[in-house]
Amino acid sequence: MNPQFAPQITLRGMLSSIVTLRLAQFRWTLAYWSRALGLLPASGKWQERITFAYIYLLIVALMTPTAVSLLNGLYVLESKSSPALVAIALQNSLPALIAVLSIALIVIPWRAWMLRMTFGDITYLAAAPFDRRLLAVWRYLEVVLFISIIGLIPMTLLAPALAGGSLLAIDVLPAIGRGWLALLLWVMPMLALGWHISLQEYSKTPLPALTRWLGRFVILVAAGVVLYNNRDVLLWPGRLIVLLMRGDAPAILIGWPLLIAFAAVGVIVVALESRGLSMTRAAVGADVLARIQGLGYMVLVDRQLLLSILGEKRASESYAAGVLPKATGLLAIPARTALFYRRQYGQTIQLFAVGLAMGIGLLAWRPDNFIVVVVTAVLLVALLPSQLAAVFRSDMGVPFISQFIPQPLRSRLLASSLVPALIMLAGMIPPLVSLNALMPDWAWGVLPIVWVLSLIGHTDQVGKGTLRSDRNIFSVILGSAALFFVLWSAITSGVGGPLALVQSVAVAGSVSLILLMIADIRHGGTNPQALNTAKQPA
Amino acid sequence: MSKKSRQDRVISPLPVSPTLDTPDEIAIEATAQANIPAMAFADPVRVKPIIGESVLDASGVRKTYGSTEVLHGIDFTLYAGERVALIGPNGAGKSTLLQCLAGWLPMDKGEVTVCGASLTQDEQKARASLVMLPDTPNFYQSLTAWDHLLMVGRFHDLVDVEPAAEYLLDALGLWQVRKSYPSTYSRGMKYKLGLALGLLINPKVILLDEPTAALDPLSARVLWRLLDEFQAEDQGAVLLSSHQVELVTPGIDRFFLMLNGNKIGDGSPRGWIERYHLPDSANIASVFTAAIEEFTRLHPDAAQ
Repeated sequence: MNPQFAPQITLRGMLSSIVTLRLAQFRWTLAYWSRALGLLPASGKWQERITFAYIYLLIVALMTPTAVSLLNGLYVLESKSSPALVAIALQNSLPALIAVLSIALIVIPWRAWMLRMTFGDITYLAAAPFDRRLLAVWRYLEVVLFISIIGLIPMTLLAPALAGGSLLAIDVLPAIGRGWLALLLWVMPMLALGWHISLQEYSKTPLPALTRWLGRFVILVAAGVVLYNNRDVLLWPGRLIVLLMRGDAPAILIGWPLLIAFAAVGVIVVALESRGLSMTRAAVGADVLARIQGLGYMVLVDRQLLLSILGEKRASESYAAGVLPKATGLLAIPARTALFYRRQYGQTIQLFAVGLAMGIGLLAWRPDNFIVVVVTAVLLVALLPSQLAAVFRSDMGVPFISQFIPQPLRSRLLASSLVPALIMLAGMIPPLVSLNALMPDWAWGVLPIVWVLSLIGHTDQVGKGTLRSDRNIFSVILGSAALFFVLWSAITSGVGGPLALVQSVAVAGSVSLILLMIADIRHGGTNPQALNTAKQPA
Repeated sequence: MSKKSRQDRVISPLPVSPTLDTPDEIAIEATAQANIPAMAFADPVRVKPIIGESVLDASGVRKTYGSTEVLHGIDFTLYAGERVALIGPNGAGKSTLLQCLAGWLPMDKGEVTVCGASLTQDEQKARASLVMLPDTPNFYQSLTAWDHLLMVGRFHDLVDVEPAAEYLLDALGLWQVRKSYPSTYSRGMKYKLGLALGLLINPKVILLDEPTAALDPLSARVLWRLLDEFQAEDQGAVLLSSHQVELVTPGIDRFFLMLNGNKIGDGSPRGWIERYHLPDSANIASVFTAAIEEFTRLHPDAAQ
């Protein structure tokens, strides 16, 4: 290359690039959360922002004194009445937690994804001259900082125990600061050990996956051997951190230099190991992770979104086992769903296991009063329908194929709800049959709730026209009411065995009709004009 | 689409030569039957189907994103057997118009009728006659290309689904990868699979968004060839959008030009040439340039 055209890559330039990128990403995240919390409403109205800010202020103002008072009472009580208990917690429980965290940092392979997430973002920065060591060390330090900040929460809760139960900032802040710094320094070598293995995955000459797994296995076994022979050894780092948190003079003299030296070794290990990184390898799959990141808080709200992205990735990788069952007309839809569950057997097992758990759960479930049934209905509707409608949800997101299946909405909902409900029922029925003698009389009457749950999950996905909808508080309330009705009628019917099932099927059928009517309304079916004029300005 | 088996016919990527009347005679007849302006110009290589009654009518289509109106009351008619190219620069509103016509995007104002069924009043009937192929179609999870064709074909109770699917996949060069998941396909392969699905069910109207953008030249020829078959045998109508005007020229009956969400003209290649007094050798790109210049001169505000 002509030196005249060689890019001038300096450490300062690279650092400046990363900082600029990260600041831009931080601003984006900030805006995202502000929108999520209603502080940046789409309408742009200040009235809405102020209303939300006021609500949050009220929540904090109402909750803080209660929480502080509660914690204060607990600490005072513990430190005065049970000093021995506090001593045990500080000497053993907390160090044990730190030991578990340390081992987890080394062996959990998900840690490698953190690296990928970064590289997905900054691959465009990584034109050939960009120093891989800087990218790896930067991300490594980010993760260290993140973990130590998470560690601040238990540190803050524990600090009063080291300050004689005092909640005054002047008493607890020094302890929190020392604890946080000690934890941060300890996380560095532990994470570096893990990254030493993970970075191999992205190396230009990677070690075989088996070797990497063996490495993790050996570390786990070694920890087990140490634990068996002298468990105190594993507690030493945690105890050192507790001592540093307390500010004990002898610990400070030896502890800080020791932790700083370990941390330096961590940085050096990561820097050395990242010299042979292949950016291409590291960036593979980054789009999947970027999509997961893009979901933001929705990952917490709806786990199915996350599963659907991971499932999509797996679907493209897995072998296309089985063939489409020969079914024509409307039955082609259950055939498609059945083939999905044949190929995504992990999801099939999940549904089956949930059904099994529900069947066994009937042994212990005692709906003695109205409240128990209401709570059960709400919990079931909150947890299960989205799982039962995972395939439908994914299919609704593909309008190109949906245009080939223009049957009435009701038929599609019924056809799509069938297969997942059958899988869950297949898990639920064996406990009912085998443990029939132990089951309450009305147990068989509960079976149709699986169908209702599946239909609730499917109707939740129906939006205006071809649009897909998301669950909201109203759909959860509505679904809970529907499920409660079926459950309550099954329990209070006074009939048992097959008769309970027949009666419950009839009730579930009526509820299904109502759910389908609601789906029609959401779809705009009762008012076709609404479909294309929904966004018409007044 | 004819249900030939893969062994019974030979696919040629090259366009067929006309065997009936001369192209000009066909165009005159088609124009007379369809009662459209006398500007129809027959492509020299395609055997034109008889252009029939209107299958897609749009009037006053308006669409707004936020506070920006991207379609300013578009009127458009597509006749059976006709192939129309929707032309315009990036951001002209071509894809938005296609999506509104297909019912994928709700319009703010306007009316769309497909084969006599209103998209707003009788959505299912209207959509049953129409297939829209976006520039990058997506597919169902955990279904291979072959499964997709079988599922759609069986859902529509088509006779001999498998030979037809085999014919289409082979013609489009996807036969060898029929048992792979579409998510592993390139963009061009996805487009071809989408086209196969669209042609399988014999719709009255096919809307194609940027059909040549993802295809190699040979695949593009196969695309034109399959569309020729579709139009000749089933009198299907095709509306396609593209900004690659040089590539969509073969077999196009009309060019519908758009700029900034406005219709700036609609006519056959011959009609455009005569309108702007261009030489016969002029290509559609120069016609397009002349039309935009004229529109910008006459409507400076709308052209901004």
